[in-house]
Amino acid sequence: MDLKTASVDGKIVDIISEQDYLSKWRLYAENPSMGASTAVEIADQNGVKYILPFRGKNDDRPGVYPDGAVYFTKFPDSEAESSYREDSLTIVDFSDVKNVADFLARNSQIRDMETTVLTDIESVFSPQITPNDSPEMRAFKEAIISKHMDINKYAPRFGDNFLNDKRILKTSSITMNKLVAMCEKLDIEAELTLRNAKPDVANPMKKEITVILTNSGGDET
Amino acid sequence: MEVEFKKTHIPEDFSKTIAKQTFIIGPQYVHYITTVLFHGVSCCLGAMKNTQVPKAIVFRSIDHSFLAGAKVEYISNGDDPSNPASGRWDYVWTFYEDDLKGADCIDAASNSLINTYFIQSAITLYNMKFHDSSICMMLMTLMLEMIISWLKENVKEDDKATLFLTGVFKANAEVVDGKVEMGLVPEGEMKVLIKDDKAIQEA
Repeated sequence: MDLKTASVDGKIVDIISEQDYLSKWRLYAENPSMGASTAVEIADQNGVKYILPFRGKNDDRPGVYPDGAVYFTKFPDSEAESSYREDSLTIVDFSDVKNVADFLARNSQIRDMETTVLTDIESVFSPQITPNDSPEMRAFKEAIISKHMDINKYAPRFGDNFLNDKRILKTSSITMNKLVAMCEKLDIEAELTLRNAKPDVANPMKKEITVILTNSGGDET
Repeated sequence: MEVEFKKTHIPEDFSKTIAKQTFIIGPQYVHYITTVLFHGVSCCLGAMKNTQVPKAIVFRSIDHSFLAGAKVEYISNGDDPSNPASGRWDYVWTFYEDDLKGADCIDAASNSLINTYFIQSAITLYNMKFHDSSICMMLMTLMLEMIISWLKENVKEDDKATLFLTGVFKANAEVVDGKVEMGLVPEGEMKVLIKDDKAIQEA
């Protein structure tokens, strides 16, 4: 398995070789989201290897700037060098995995890496709760606020839809499907309980029914 | 009229022309290609130069007609012909094949070595790389065609046309006896690359 992963610029990225990028550059050009969680291993003229993420036109950080038939590489200055040098980064390499135990151990390394990234908060995200919020939306917003987190760090989990999903939190209602999907991406467990509306209703349910909605829960009690 | 390369319609036209081949280079980067053309040729000739025989690189259009060429020739001062340091290197570009008579000419399109100089120049000058380096020669040839077209379109009976890119080249055209005559001169920085072996090694 030819896969390397590292944390660069507070983001978990898959690392590809420059050769690999050149063989698939059209694919990356046509699907910009592919580059969002990818970085390229590129050596400078002195042979020093760097892990450089793809950048957009308005960026000016070290990275790879594709522009049609050409691409520009911006190497870091001496101050930022250690954040991009291959030999200064912690890289989880799957290329020499020998067995399942090895594979699981490296997966766990990536999870640890992700935890570090997610808890390194640059700005806490607090969606605004309004009187018009539906109960499920209010609960969801409260959950996010109490997590005291930077939602942008979760962007790779949302993929292309991140900004659209984030925008939902500016509205006052949310569908069940969207609520479940977003909870899963934010490591929130959602539970649904059905019980009698009043003790004296006709045809009462004999027991409360509770199910976990997230992560294909479905455990009924 | 004398116009700076970046202020002409060449960057826009160049960008549109290659876009038809599904290659995209933004107009804002087209002058990089021009600089890489002259820088790459200068470095290549600097590496190939020979005191015994003039060396030249020739660019031809797709129909094999001559577009332009660059030549480096050693001019001995006569005192010590065997000592390269005693003479000087004459570096010229031309739009006329006759000017290259007597030189050992290399066809740019059929020599992959020259492509590597363009690729290296792009990296050295701008940290710019080509997604598909095989298009490099096509870009360089197209650039020369566009420079020639601009000169021919803008020269008038009573007014010379001059196109320049500071530090890279100056091209001009004038009408002499009803015929358009064109010239192309590499700028000082490019000439230094021919003469300075150290600079070439570093490039």
